Amino acid sequence: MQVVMDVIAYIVNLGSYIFVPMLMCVIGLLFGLKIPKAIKAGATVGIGLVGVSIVSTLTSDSLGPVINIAIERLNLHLTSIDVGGSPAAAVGFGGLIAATLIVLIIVTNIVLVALKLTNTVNVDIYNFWYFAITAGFVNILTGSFWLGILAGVSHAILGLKVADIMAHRTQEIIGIEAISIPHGFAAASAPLFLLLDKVYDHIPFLAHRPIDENSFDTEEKKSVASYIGAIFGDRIYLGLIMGLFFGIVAGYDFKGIADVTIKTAAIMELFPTVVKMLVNGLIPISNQAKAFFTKHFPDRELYIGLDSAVTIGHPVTISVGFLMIPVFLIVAAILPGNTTLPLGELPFAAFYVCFATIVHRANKRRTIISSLIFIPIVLLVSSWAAPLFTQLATDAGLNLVAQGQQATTMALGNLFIFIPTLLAEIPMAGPIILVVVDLLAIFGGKKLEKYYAKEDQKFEETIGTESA
Amino acid sequence: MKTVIVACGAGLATSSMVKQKIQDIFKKNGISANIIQCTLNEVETYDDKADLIITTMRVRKKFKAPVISGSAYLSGVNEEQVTQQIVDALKS
Repeated sequence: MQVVMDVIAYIVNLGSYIFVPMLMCVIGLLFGLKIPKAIKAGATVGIGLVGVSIVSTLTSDSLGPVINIAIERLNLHLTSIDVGGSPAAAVGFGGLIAATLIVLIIVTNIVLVALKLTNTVNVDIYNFWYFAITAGFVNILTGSFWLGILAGVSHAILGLKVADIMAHRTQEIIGIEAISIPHGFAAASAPLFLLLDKVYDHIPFLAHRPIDENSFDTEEKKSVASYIGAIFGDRIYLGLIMGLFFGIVAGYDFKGIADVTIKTAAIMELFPTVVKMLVNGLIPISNQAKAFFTKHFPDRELYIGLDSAVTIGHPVTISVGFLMIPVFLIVAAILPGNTTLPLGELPFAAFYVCFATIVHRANKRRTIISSLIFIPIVLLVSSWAAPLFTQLATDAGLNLVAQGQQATTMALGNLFIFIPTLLAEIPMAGPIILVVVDLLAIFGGKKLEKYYAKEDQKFEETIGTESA
Repeated sequence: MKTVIVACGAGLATSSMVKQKIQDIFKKNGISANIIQCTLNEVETYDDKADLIITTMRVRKKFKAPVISGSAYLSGVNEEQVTQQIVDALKS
């Protein structure tokens, strides 16, 4: 036994970009990939991790110091830098726990489908990084690997159930058949929006109006949102602007300002570019899993669980998302207790409102109000996550920030990370409470599914006849 | 040589999945094309030189180039039909 532990410890100490490709290769073989394909898939994931580690020297050496000076001069307390979702994915997959978790989540999903307790198959392996972060946090806090796994699987189960409950409405609003969204962030935002939706039902100002599909086009061209979006919605422009701002505020000379401007733009663009490799490496595993489900459950109407990226094209999501970019910055500056400096996730603000659009059936007023309520929560939870995430990144061999700073990302402002982590921390009872929550979600979810199916049906019957 | 744009929300995960499928289809059908992967916001900048735009979501915005939804490659519903549409759009 001791020998096995020693071997594992030795391999883990080689560094994440060495052992993660090995593990991914094994997982690939486990899911029936041929040996050359499995090797290439594993290596591609490793290349992504190497890329993230190279780019992260830019954030720790160039961006970190200038931000330190700038926020001190502005008298802000934003010491947790939002490095963005893509390096966070590398942190998630950079730990030993991730590989075990991938296998166990897929097995859990197969069991739940076989028992007819879910109709969603989550094959969006790349976004398993969210679940791996939950597992990693719990592992750090409790020192228990298996409790971490339980928390990560719980996050995945909550995602599956939200996907089931919202499947019909998602397909309706987004216009893609046979899908649902078990995504680790988007699904986690749904419960709050569902509660708020019930409140809005009693406010006449927020009543649903018949949707005129043609109005979207003209509205989108003229609105303030489209102007904000043209600049801030582009990673490179946003990087240039933020870099310029930090450089000027920090009182650098021209050379210093120019340096930090171009490097900030480089960070914004290069992280997603190198993480694309990680995505590519996981696609073969994802395809194998999808093939497994369609082969073994041929007569079930299953929903393919997808990334929330497929919902971003909705005009309400686009325009509200752009509007929220400045809101993130303003709220971050004035919100007591917040330490998160929004940066890497800013161009992706639409991902933070995409499920509000679905829950509120593309009602723009409701989506805006929900987003305004949601943003402070995102910022406070991602501030809470900062020390844990910084630790997790260091363990994965990634140094994402400068001295005196912590790394975080707004993607961690996620209640399905926060709540399972808090529950798992409860001494003794933690694991039992987590299992109870899972069972409640699985069986209570069925009831909610029926409830919302009825609500959707009622809505579709009435909306056509109602006058504006 | 045709130019094909593949776009999704972040230009990262779902567009990568569709891109791989499209590459296979092009290989099988002997189509030589330059595939550009990007975010939905960036599509406009490539519109002028694009022969076809494939998105992973339904888009209401109008472009000069024809737009085909590639979400079938994610859900597995109607995959052959969409493949036919893409091949037809590029062979004409």
